[in-house]
Amino acid sequence: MRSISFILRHWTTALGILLLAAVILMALTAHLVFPGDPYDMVGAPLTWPGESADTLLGTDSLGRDMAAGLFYGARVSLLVGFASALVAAIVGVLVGAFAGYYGGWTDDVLMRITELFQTTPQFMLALAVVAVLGPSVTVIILSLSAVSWPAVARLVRGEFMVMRERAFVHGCVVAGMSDLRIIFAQILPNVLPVIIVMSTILVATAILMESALSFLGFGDPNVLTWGTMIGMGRGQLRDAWYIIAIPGVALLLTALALNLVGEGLNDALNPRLKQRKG
Amino acid sequence: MSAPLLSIADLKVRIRGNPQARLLRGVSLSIDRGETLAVVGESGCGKSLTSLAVMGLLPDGLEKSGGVIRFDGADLPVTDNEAMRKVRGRRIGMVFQEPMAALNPVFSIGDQVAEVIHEHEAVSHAAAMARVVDLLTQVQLPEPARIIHEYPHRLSGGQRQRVVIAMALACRPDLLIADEPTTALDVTVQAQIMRLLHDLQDDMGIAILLITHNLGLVAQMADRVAVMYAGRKVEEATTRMLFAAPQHPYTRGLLAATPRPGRRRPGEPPLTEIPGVVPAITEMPSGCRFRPRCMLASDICALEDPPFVDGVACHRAVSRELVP
Repeated sequence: MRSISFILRHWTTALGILLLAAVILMALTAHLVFPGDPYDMVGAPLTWPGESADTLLGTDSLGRDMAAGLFYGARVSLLVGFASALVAAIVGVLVGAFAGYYGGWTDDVLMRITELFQTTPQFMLALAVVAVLGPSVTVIILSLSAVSWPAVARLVRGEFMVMRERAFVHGCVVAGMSDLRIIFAQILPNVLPVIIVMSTILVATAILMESALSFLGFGDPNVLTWGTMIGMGRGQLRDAWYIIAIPGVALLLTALALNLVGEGLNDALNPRLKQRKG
Repeated sequence: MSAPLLSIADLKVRIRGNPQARLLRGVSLSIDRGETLAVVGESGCGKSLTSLAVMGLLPDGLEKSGGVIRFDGADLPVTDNEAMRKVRGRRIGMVFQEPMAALNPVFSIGDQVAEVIHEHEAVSHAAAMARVVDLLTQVQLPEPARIIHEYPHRLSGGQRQRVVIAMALACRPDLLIADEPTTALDVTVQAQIMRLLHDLQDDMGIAILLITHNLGLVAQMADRVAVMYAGRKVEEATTRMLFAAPQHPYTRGLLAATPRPGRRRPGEPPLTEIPGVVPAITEMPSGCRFRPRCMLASDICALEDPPFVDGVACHRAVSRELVP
């Protein structure tokens, strides 16, 4: 029983890595495979997938190549996903580490600020930030990190609260180490696995939220994203559903891949599981 | 005679904002260079609190409300965290009782011990590592050149405690505070670790403040013993004197509760316990705090806290001269 779930886990992790690698490859080679602008008209509008040899995945209502959109969209999705997860992780780790290590009023102040962000509905907050500052890739990255750092902060805070009572941390204190050194050089390496696992989920969430923003027309108008494609295709939902389905499936697979990789990393990095194996 | 290495005079610690909750009520101790002082007593007597006060690491909510702590001829700046960081690890090392959790699981032994050296001295990593190998040899770990690359989970409890001791001694401190250093280890390993501490003391001339409730260790290690009860020192004597002629009823109770094979008189019970437990800080009795548990208590014991005179704080103490 256990070996079956063990193999299954490794198999799903491999699948996740494979899918993610494919999306990254698409993003990296977009300009080589499709040298033109993805917004250019390349064929007759509403060509179904497989109908024309030039546009294998068909065209949308303005005759734009769906395949080109998929490749260029991967770029924006991954950029937004990874960049916002990185910013959220950095802010969350800083806030959580100080709150958890020092406790007391530092914790109170930092956690009240965190709760302020957490009690606002995430998507509404992101939407509001983009609406106020204007839609650009940078603003979207910032708005998505603004809504996702509190979860990291709370997680890291909890880990630090446990860690700072560990005997080795007391040992560092009596050895005369400074607080910053203990926080970043001694405790953080112990918490890193949890942060890495959480970050993969953050990337997936950010990609989905970016698509939702683009779908509502709050995406960066200068770049084509999967959400933009879905948004533009919604008028043809009944007669040309493939326009929505193709980027939709791409989104689904990317989010799935990130979750599978996250689970695999959790298995590999979780110290409790590792100890059980010996 | 020169001034002692560490002298604690009338140290008082209380709960912040609560003058009634006096956790330490004027503790005085002193240790000379190269000497071993054992501090014994039941849990909750303030043994560990005394050592934390010396390190400037009182838990949140407690404050030092009086007393002077002098170290190597100067006042210890126990409230100045930055100044104390230069003392901790470098001048005073400390060893705790949990070797299992005392090492950082994600770093190799070598890196961990070297980290302490780097914290206090500007040396190259190679030089620090060379010293780590020397230290591990000194604490008698086999194959130190291999062990520096190992991670803590690969070592046994006794080996980890040796690493912890190596870390505490990395910067050649003058004083080592050992807070129940062997409690979590099994008996044979306990004996090895204590022998090691003894050898290191002879080699390096460090003073050891040994905090324990194991009187067997005290007899084996200490030059002098201070007995603490409910936040104050109730008796102090040389180890030989304390075991031969304990004066305070509490000390006698502790000794009677310790197995001593071959010393039993006919008809004597093998072990006698001290009835009751150390009272909670909110329920301290009037007068002598040991009174409710003391078989010798009389009226005067309820009236005043006995002063510390001639090495003992008890109204009913048996004078040493009277002991045969």
